[in-house]
Amino acid sequence: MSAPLVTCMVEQWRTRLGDACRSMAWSSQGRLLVVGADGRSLVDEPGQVTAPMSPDPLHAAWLGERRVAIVDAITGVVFAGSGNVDTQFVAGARRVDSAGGRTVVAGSNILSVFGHPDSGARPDVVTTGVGHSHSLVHAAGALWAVGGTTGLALVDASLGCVDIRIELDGVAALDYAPATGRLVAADLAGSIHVLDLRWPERGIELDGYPDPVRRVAIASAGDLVVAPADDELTWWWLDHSGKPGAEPDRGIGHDATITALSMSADRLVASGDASGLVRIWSPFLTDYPVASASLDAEVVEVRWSPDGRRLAMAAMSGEVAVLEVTPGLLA
Amino acid sequence: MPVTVFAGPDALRLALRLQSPGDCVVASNWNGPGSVLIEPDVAHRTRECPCCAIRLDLVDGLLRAARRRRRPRRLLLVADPNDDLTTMTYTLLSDADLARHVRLDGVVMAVDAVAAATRIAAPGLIGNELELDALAVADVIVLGRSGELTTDGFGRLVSAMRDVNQVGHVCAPALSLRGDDRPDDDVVMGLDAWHGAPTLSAAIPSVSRRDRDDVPDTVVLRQAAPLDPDAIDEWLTWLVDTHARRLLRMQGALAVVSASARVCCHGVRSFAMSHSEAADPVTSRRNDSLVIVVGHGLDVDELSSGFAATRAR
Repeated sequence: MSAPLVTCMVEQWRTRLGDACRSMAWSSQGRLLVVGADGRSLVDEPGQVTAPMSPDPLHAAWLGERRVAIVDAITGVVFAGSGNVDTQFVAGARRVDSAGGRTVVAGSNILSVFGHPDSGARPDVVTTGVGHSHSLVHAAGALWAVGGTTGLALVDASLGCVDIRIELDGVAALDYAPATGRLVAADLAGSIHVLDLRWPERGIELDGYPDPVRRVAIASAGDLVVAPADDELTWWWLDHSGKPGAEPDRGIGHDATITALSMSADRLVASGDASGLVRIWSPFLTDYPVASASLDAEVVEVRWSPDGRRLAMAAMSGEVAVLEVTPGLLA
Repeated sequence: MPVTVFAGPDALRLALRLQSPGDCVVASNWNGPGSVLIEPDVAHRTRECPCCAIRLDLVDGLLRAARRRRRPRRLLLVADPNDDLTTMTYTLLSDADLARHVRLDGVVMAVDAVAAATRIAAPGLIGNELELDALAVADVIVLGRSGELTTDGFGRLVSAMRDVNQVGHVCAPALSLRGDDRPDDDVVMGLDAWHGAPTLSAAIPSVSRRDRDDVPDTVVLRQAAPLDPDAIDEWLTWLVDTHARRLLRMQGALAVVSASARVCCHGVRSFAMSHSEAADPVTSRRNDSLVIVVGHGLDVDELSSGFAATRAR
């Protein structure tokens, strides 16, 4: 059976890092960073691999187009690029993000705000009140959402204060839809919370999962949320008020546990599983993937480029591939 | 990949002495070659429910250690003195992401024999509440520096240990022929002690009552006849539902009428799992059922009568 969406996918390159992939990030102009567990990083293409920059890397982000930040369980955050490397200690550093001239590092009950590009300056430290950080997403302007052990905090990095704090159990994943100001948060209790940052009191809860939800994605338009649980994918369409319009679509997406998830600017969803299989889904055809690819071990990350035309995927074995994807149209 | 949990005051020292090339030490108080640093981070799957507490740092740290291109041979997880071992074992057994990569191999309690002997001579308990809980579920108790005790002192210490844990193997490496105070590798690791049928000497009594609430109870339940599948299922559900907050460890092998092989079961707090013994080496008689329950405030009579009632008619 052929899909009504004819999506073309061409492999651009494939390589193998010296160790498992720990984190991937695209810059806003489409530069790729892949950080391995041995601290070495691949930049843009297979031949460009750095020396080890971090003893136990956890997460990475681009700071503009020429510098990167890598957080690490031991040293804090490493800023590298443009010919120099600088390390700053951040207690319990787990996640990093950068936007609008600021770089933020989420750590143990804190968000450290660095003024980009002068990363050598001392950071402003905001107490989040949500315990250890597990997820971080840039919302709007100087606002970042931090998900932690005991809740969710919306931090205003320009004022150095917490705007909103909500008690939730183990917020493992966050995503944000800039067009509608909707923030989606997934927690250990198996609930997915959709918050409208313009009217936070209007939040809704999408529940029904028996297991913790560790991955979630929302379309940039804010009208679609997708989350995996074990081998299942569940899709919720949201109406203009942010409420689910109908019963969610739920289907077995993989034969093995889903271990990675990412949604593109075109609402294509990439999911990777414990067997190394990567599938691409259209929200209009949720019971059959529109394309598939594979890696040779458990997929640890899939990540769409900002324009939605390239998909990077990486495995526990260190195998990394980049695919060029052309979304089809409804037949 | 097997994970051995080292608990007790001497846990880190023992783990580092046993670390071989290819082993990875996961600890909050050690950052050396071949190690992963963690920082205790407890969350709840259900808000403020103590029996649903999970160590998120363990999930993350053990996955970091296991998900490598060249995977470690074994993981040596060191509990901090302030760690609640039950939360650690619950996390190891119940987290689905961890279960794909690691398997709880055993719990090793590392005790400084001289310090422990001094404490019980006071007279006093052999440890605080967290230490007693860990001691009660340990598969191996390693008594370091036991060569410095008198014979009587050593005997009293072993007796005090046995009062808390009748099932685990007590090991005093300093008294071995080698005498270098380091246990043999295969005594403390490679046990696979949390998944198969429990091993137990027939001499161990069916129940052990405690005089003090802070010392966990151990209840050993036996039956030498096949069990009714519905009745045993219902009893196990009741056991977990009514004891989750105080259940430190449950492990059994059940001879069920309808099953061709015995059913192994194990659990901690609100988590319980079962599988056919056929997946493990068959070591025991097919019609013998055995369940060991370790927990606080166990009603021995209630447990015994409930288990006895599961016998097939």
